[in-house]
Amino acid sequence: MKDSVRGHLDAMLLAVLEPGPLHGYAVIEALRQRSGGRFDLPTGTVYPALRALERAGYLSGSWSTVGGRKRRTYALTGSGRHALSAERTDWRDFSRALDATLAGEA
Amino acid sequence: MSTLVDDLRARLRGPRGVRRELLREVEDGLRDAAEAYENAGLPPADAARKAADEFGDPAALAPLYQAELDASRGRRAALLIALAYPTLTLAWDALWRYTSVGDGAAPDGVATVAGALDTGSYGAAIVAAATIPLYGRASAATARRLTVAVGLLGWLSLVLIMATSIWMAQASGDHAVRDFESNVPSMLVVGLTVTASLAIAGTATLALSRWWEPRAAR
Repeated sequence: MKDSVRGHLDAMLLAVLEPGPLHGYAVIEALRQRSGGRFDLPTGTVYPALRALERAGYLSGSWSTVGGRKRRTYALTGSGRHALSAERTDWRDFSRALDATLAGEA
Repeated sequence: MSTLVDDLRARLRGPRGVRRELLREVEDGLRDAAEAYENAGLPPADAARKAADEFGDPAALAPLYQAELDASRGRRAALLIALAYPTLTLAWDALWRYTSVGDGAAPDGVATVAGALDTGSYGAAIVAAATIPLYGRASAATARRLTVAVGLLGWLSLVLIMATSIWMAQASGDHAVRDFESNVPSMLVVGLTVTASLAIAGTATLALSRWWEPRAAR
């Protein structure tokens, strides 16, 4: 489970940032909430993944004051939205094909 | 929690500012996590321990963080090479064109070698500039390889340019060197060349050091 979660971490990070900008720990909390606590990744993998997405131009990161403390906040960019949309399409195609394969003969 | 951050810090090599920012973000996240557990009713020590446990093993995580430092270091070196060589080539061209330096007849071969030097400098700058977008979606291993390659490019180009320049100065004879010493613009261009060469040597050495430094130190 952990490996497959890690393989889709980029798409999940883009998805939780779709509604609006969040700082690192808020991203981790949003991942937990959306997955009902099932995606239990080491939280230390999230920060470099956010930086890698920023390097790719999918996120823009900036330091801002949130709750009286300086935090690095990430927002989805235009190309991040495109990438998320492509990831969703790929995942739907894959999951449809997997469902059909696992369902077997009707 | 601070032990965990110190452990991670000791494993990372790269630009100090980027490393400080990365670790500050980690520290903030750990503090946020500990606060959330405290608010949920855990005693402070337990909350901090739980936040650190959830973070993961610094030894296993360090390569992910190191990739960002490698990318930053490599991109800086590539940008410097991409900007410095065209600037120097244009500065030398302006010197030959608009001052009396080099007005004497150049010996056979010097003009050809000077032309090749210009082409080589622009070529190195273009190759360096072309690596910058490659960092975008580069994996940790690719970022490291690219950075080592940029370091190699920096040193190889520098050695070739220096060797060629020394040969041209020798082939042009003592009078050409005296021309330089008595001319303010030529000394400015020489100063600019020495400064840029030292900067390229420094940044290329740091980039190249990712070859022999451990993948994520320690």
